[in-house]
Amino acid sequence: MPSANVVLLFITTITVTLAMFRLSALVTMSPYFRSRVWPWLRTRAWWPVPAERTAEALLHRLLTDREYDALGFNGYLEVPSREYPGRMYRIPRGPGQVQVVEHGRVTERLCVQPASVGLPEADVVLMHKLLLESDERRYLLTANHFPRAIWY
Amino acid sequence: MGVLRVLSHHGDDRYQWNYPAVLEGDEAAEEAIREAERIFAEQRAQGSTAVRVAPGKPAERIDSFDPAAQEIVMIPRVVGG
Repeated sequence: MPSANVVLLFITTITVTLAMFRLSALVTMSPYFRSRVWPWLRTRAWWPVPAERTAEALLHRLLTDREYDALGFNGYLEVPSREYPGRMYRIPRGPGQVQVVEHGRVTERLCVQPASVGLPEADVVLMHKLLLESDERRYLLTANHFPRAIWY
Repeated sequence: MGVLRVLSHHGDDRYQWNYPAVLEGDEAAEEAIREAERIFAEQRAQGSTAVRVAPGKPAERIDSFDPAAQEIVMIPRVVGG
């Protein structure tokens, strides 16, 4: 029956399309893509969002090669505390909170964000780094603290 | 050359000046530095944080415009999330 074939074709097309969307989302949102492939793409001259290109270039220029490579490899940037010996701040690339790491153990998470929305991802990484380096106490006073005890 | 970068949704807006030329009395350079100083003050009034940066060195917070700085980054006001 032709109508049955049309319905079958329609269902197959929808199913294949949804599966392709799901697969592409899984690949492009993976940590490897988020921390390595997307940032690399953003530095290309043809990248269609100039704000992301300039933000990525600024981040690359203001980090050392070692820091930038580590950010791409780990998906976060580590900034040593100048106030508390043995403490390190892990700034994620992309959404997420800054982790406070003391002697190898995450002790709390900090949430600080721009009051006005819309900074490119690379600028947000740079924002956390510069604020932590230049005025750590004020950063800690501004942040909402999520101690380890309340994560569960 | 000094540069003031204002982080924004455009990536960053840049304003440049030539401090040695200002010291020599160049009028165009003086105009550029006045504009950078005006933007610095405007951003500070909106709650931005100003940091002096140099590659490979820790950032340093500044409260007043430094014409001798090579690069100043203005970070928009932040809040606890």
